[in-house]
Amino acid sequence: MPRYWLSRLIAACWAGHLPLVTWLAPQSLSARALSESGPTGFYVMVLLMACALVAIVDVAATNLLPPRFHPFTARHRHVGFLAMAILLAMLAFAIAAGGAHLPVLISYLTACGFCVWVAFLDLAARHQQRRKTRS
Amino acid sequence: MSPTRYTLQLMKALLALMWGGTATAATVALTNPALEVDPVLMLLSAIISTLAGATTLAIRVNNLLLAEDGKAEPRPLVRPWLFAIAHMLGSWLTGVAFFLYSRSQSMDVWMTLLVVLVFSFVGAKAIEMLAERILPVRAVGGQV
Repeated sequence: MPRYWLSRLIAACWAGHLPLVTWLAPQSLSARALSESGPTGFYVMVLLMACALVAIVDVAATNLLPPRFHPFTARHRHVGFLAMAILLAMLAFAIAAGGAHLPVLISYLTACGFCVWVAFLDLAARHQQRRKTRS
Repeated sequence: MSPTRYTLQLMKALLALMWGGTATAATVALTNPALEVDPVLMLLSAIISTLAGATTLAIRVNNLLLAEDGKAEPRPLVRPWLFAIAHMLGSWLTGVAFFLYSRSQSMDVWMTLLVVLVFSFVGAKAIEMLAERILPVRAVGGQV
């Protein structure tokens, strides 16, 4: 069973939907706070959504395809999820600088914390699985 | 001097540097109202530094475990807590220092973020390079 696939899917969807909502609702608090920091915020959101999409494709590929077709992302998932966490923290920083809206910060930071937890859980599970396979 | 003792001395030096910097920053903040450091931004900057240190640590741990996986008797990580704290201290020290520097230079938000992130990675990597010279992977109580 691919390790913690549901946690990874939830983390990816959660991290990916936050910038999507910000993008689709320009009147929202986070969109207004990000727009004050310039266009860079939207490039960071695009990068976050790209990372989330790669994570979702990775979950789909490792669940539906045989092991020999598993993508190379299986060995570097911890980097991807930590990158998502860093991007979420950066967006939270930009939102705080644009006018600290506590509910928005809490939602971004909770998603950030979940991505970090999933990254380390996946790393530990991968190495435990390799040791069990070898023994 | 044993590797553990050397690393502990290194971390004590880092803590002394952090204490000195923190005390200086607090004094400047109290006596110089022009340097406005928002506590929320300071906290978020610390979170970003923590994430940068955690990323470097995860990559390092993954590489170490992969190196041991191919062996008949893989050696466990020695004193992982020391390894983790060393990474995090290096990241926090440089991250906080460059956040305060960027605030003093009135850099914009994204430049501040870039400076904090890049130098947090550099700080964690620097400590990792120092530690790997003197803290080899070995079993507890065994030979290198």
